[in-house]
Amino acid sequence: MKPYSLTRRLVVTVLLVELLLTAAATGLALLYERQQSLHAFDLMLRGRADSLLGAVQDAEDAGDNVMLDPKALDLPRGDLYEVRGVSGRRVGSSPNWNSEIEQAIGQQGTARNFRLDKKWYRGFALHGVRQIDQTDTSPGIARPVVIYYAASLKPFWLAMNHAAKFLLLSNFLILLFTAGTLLLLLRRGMAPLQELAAAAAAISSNSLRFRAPPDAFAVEELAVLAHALESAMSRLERAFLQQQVFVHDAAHELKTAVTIIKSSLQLLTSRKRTATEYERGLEMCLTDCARLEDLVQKLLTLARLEQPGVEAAAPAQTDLSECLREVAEQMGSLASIRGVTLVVEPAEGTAARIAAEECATLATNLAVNALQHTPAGGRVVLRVRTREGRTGFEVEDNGEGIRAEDLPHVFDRFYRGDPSRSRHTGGAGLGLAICKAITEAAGGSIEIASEVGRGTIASVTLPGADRGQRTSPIQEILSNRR
Amino acid sequence: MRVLIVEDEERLAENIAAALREGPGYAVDIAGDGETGAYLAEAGEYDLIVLDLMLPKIGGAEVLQRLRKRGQKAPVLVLTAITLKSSIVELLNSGADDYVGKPFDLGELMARVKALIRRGKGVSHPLIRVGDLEVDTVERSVRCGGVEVELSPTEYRIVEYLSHRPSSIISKESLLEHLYDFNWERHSNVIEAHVSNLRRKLNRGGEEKWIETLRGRGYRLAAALRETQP
Repeated sequence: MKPYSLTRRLVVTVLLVELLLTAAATGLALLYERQQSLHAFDLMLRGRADSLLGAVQDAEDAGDNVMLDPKALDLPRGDLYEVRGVSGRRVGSSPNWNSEIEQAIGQQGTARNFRLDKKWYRGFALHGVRQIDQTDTSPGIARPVVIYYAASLKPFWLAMNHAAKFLLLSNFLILLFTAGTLLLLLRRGMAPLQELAAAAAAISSNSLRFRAPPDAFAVEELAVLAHALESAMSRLERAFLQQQVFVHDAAHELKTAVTIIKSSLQLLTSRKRTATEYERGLEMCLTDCARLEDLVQKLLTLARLEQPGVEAAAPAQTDLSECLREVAEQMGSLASIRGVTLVVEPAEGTAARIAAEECATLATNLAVNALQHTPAGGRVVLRVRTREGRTGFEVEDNGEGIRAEDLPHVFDRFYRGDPSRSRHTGGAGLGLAICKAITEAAGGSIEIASEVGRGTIASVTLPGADRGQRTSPIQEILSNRR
Repeated sequence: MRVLIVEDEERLAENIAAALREGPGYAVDIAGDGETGAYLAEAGEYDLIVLDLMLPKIGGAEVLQRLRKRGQKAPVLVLTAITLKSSIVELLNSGADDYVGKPFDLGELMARVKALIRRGKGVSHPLIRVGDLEVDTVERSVRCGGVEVELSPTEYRIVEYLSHRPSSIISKESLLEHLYDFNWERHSNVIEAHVSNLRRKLNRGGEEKWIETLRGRGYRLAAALRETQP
């Protein structure tokens, strides 16, 4: 879609509306002006006709004739008139008079427009009575006359023209002023948006820090956007930072593992050795490789678990007791080497919604941790538990425990409470991070409680399986609400 | 020469130690964490410290600062997985003498270790000449007046150590400190036996007294004196 400018749209809309309004107002004003001018014109016509009536005098002849006294006439030269006496006798007329005009004017007292020689005229007929020989004592003799009077409409059209020009000019000026003001206001109003955009444009993968300019917060409509942007960026930055730390740690671990293998091989080849020495050296290298492999495997597991949408479409169900029994079987030899008793406490019919493989990884990691940190003669218990309707299992040991200051960090990747110790066990500090990722991907949770010298309990809570029937996500939400 | 390795990765520390013992024949001590490392570095007389950065208890950078603050002069070679320019500049500025990025080449590490030890003692070339005596620290051989002298490893190490500080008197204790790591039983008469053997081998050609004994004070390469006073 072609982008459009809000500013341009707004300005154009406002100007269009204003143009329509002013056009209507101008039209109305011109109509009114026309009426007024015509009215004034008619009055003027009548005035002139009246003065013409005043100029009618007794003809001083035998008949009761009247005449037009040319001396009393002071009329504009272009005007057309004719005066007729009784029985239609012509008393007098303007020099440019002809009979067509009389027809055009008609006998009515209302004014009419007509064309003559390609010019517009307006005229009317005045049926008047002239009192002749009027004195103080006698009313005189009444002589009825008809006066046809017409004048050119040119002055009227000129006035109308002027009025129209004036109105158009003033309206144009108003439009111009509105457009200017609008643009100025909009530009000023849009400035915080542009500043915000500039600040947002400065974000790159190198600098995720984002501070919205203070002006953006001053605008109510923009403040929402600025806040949203800021919080989104800070969340992103945090995630990015965590990722960076992880990558950094992973790189360190991988580099170290590679360094060990490389240095072992270089040491082996630095001089001629006996066959037994080579054999021993190669065996060491294989062990080192196995460690590197394990590290890579764990990193890949973590990466897979933390991918969004890793949760299986149809989560499998796993019998926890069975899972723990299998893990205990596998761990049997390690437990006996370390002289630790490994016990499983199963429970009937406890199925959890988790893939069997993930459940085994989870239990194995926790069991290995417990076995490694429990001295000979100790006891590790793998216990299935259903508490308050939630399924899960616990791995409890009576080993050395975890220091209180380390507890909040045990789930951090690459965290090793006491590195000098866990280095010997070969852990890279990813086991618990993987456990956490697995439980969270399955929609459960994991907690660790510990006391130095008394032991540790790791409790995993998993979403329980509903006997065979699968619930839809909506049903799940509804049941959670209840 | 005696080297301290401060590295928490046991296998790596063992490999470096083995290479240093087998190659240049140095005495090597290993510290598994920063705390032990700092303690050992202050207690023992080391000719070089190999320091990892990611260490338990006390980080490598802090160990370095602590050592330099207390006037420990031994050269420090840092092992680091972070070879960013900024972090290296910071390291060198806080008193490290050199660094090797992981994963490193064991041969390169050895060469750097030897170079740092030489420089730390004011010697710039791996072939050290004191008068007619030539000590080749790369080949680990000694020539006396152009004739190669067969020496046992310990005898070579004594000559090497003495030749790095030609005109100073070196006590038996100091020799012991620099030639043996913690795992050895130390007896000063072991040194005496080695020195007498060494003297016999070196003097075979002529009657020059190569190693001077200053009673109660220690040993000195006599060739150095002849060189300065012809």
